[in-house]
Amino acid sequence: MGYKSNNIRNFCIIAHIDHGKSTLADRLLEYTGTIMERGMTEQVLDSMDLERERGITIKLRTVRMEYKGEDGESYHLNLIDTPGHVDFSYEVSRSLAACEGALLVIDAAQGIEAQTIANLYLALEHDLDIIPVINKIDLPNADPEKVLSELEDIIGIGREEAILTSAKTGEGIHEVLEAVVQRVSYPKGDVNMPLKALIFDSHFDSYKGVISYIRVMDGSIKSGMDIKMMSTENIFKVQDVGIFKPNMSLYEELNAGEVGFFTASIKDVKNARVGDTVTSVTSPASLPLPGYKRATPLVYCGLYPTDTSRYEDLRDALEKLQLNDASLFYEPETSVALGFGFRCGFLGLLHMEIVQERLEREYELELVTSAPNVVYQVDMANGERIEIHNPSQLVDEGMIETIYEPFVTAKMILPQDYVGAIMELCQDKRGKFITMEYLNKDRVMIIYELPFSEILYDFYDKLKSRSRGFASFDYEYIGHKPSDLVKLDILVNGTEVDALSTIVHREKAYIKGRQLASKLRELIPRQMFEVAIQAAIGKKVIARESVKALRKDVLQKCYGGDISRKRKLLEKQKEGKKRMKQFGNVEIPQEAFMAVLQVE
Amino acid sequence: MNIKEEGDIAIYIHIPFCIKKCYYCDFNSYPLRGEDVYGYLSALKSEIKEKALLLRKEQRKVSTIYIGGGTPTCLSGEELGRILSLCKEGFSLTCDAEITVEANPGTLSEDKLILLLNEGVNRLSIGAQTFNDELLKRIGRLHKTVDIVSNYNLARDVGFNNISMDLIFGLPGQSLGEWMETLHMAVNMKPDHISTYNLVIEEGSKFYEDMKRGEIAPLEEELDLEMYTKAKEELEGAGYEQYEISNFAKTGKECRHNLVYWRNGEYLGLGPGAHSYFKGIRFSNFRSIPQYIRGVLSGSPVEEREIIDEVVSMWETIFLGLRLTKEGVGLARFKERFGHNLKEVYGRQLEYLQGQNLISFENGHLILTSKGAILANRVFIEFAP
Repeated sequence: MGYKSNNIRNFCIIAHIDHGKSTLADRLLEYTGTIMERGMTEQVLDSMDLERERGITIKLRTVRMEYKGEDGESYHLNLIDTPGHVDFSYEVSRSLAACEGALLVIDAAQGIEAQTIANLYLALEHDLDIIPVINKIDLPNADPEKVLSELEDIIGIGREEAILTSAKTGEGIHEVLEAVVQRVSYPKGDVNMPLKALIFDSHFDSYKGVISYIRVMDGSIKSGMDIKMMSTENIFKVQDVGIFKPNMSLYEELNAGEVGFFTASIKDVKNARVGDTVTSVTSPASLPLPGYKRATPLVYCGLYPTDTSRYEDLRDALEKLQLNDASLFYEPETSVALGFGFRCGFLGLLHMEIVQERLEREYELELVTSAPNVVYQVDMANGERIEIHNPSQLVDEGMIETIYEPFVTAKMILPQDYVGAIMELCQDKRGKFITMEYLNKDRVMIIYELPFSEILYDFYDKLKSRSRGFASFDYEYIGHKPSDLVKLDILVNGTEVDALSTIVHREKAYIKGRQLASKLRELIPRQMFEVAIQAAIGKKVIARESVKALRKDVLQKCYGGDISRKRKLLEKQKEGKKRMKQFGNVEIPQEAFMAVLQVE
Repeated sequence: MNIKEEGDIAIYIHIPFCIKKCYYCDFNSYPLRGEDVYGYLSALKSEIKEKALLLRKEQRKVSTIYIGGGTPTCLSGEELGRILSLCKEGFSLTCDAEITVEANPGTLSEDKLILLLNEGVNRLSIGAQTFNDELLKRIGRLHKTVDIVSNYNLARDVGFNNISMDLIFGLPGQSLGEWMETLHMAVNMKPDHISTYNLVIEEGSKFYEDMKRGEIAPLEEELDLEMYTKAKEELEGAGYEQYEISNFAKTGKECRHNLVYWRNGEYLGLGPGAHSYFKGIRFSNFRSIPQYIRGVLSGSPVEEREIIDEVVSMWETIFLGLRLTKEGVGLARFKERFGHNLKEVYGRQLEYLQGQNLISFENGHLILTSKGAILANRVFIEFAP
């Protein structure tokens, strides 16, 4: 089939986690023969091992399917997969911008959840045609009728628009494809206009350099052409152009409305950032596509090699990961307590965990991680505004005018029985109640404004446990706001341990200081001298604990000639010691650096 | 204390039987049953003959034999006598060889003692543990204080002139007063050698299970430490010299067998679960009696082997040698053995530990300070490769 923009459909699948997005995608690929059933790994689109293990999509994938409609016409259906986690919401919004339609997948047993709504709003913002898909109707506890009512009541979409499917059995797959053809608008670009293409993802290939995933809005892109990135004005010569089906296949050109990739010997993903507009050098577009922003890290933490001699290996590994992940930020950092390492910035906690895990798994690095923190903004008394990525950078209170911390709005959907418990949780977390809405007679949506730092660690777990697993949750960063914050320092034997400093709300500082000091007393093993632990705000000590000196550590037992056993006991003791960080002459175990998170 | 036996070998023979296992014990011992003893003894005899042949081929003399357990004296005098005579026939003993038998109070009779003496046993090690009947009962010992005294006196009367006594402290519920009383009573009996062991509740003992259930708890560290300090004071005051962290002796009555271990010398262990160090290899026999018997019958009772390279051997030499509180690690001897200067190999560690006042050098020997002796493990791990 040649190029005919009204035979192209660009769509994505959006859903709450675990509602069956990836399985549905697999069935669509099978049904259209894009992929053979046999030899297909479950959930083709999630290709990183980590993604499959965690059941979430991190990196976007995109595939072109050939489909012959009931009307006899042949169609190109481009399925653009989206990441399923709020950490990657900017990437989600860019891939939505590449589509005209979205399948909104809802689990027939679970019903509408917080991310269903968040994703729907995002899709509506991009003016997408929505096709609701009630999935997993094969489940014994499926209740499609109830979900259809929720759809009408909560979202305002008529029940007749929904398609019932079971991605597991294949039921309803044909109907979904027909709906994509009939209900999703075809792309409205002009192939004769100057080139405008949206980069919605990229990945690094060691042979070809950066492979940019694009949606051509206007004009066309072909190999040999000189192109320009509109945000940086950097110019490259296009090498290859092609599409994914799902493997990369080369094409002459991509025209307005089409989705595919190009390569241009770009050595660094930073030169092909998600959201940027690609145009032609000879006849450039006058304006870029709207909505480009650089993904900025919201969460920072320090990463240090346990074995200090592996600092360079860690640098190399971060460099390699960054080739593929433009939103990963790192810069060298020296901590008195932890030595040489890197301050790393992430989009969120999940993003952080993924990077840590990849460093440990793929690069075999053992890491000490300092507790993650959010980004603070500070108005200094001298009028300067600075950003704080590490709590230990926060200067004396006297030099500070105002401190700002990031806030989010959190949407939670839960059975009404748990409203009291969840509201209490949000109040504890310095939340500000915004609104509550009944979705139906027993389900409620509550919206709170919360400091991002308060949901950073165990909020989700607490939400789940206080609602017996029924509450779902989604959040969105809304900006920095002034807060009454102070720096809480920890002193070990009179010296401040920079990696243990935190920024906390003034009202919670005392209790946190006491809890942290007592937690550290448990975590720091006894040494040959007494270890004093103090929590302080500025010069004022607010809590004290001490780890008593170890008086005796000797084996006074006769093992006969079993010297191997004696030696192994000593080796084990030595191993334990190696895993600690030497701070002055005090040994601090790794767990201590995460203790900050474990206090209420 | 100038015993130089390079080239000579120590022999350990393990008797894996007890009448009943004590509550703190995780050693390789089983309740005494006739049929096991028979099979075990015949396997042991084969092993003695085989090891004796090996040492004769190597032209190595044996300077100490130590029969330990278990409770060796729960065997009959004849059975022990047979083991001893086989040893004397097989091994080429040095003229002043030390031959020790471990004994529990209540298992010694005049006949048995005379038989042992006639077979050449010249040292007895009596497991007194404590002189408090209530405590003895609580730790699962079968004897009473009177048995310690009567068996000890019997041994003296028969003619043993080198008797050691094992004492244990830090028992659950033990008070400092009780421990002091035990020390007094032991000292009054004037044994030639006293070992003071600190209770460690090990996995595999009944105490370990009791502790898990919360029925007993280890003693407070401060009290434990005080018991150790008092023992040292008391024993040194009574003319015993501390020559090892847990061992005290009258002049010339140090346990020569154990000195071989601490000087990182060579030894062969015979019997189930016994350990050997010979020609740079540490190896150990099967722990279970049936496996041990099968092993001997099919050519080798060895279960595990480990080759000790130079780096590990240097470390072992240090952590074993430092246990000898007076002798420590001789710098000249170290240099002679490994060809390296100790101070060059471990410069950084020595500097750090000296700074912490945990070690010192005395007349060309590296030794633990008194602070280092109670924190010995901390010192030892610094030298780990």
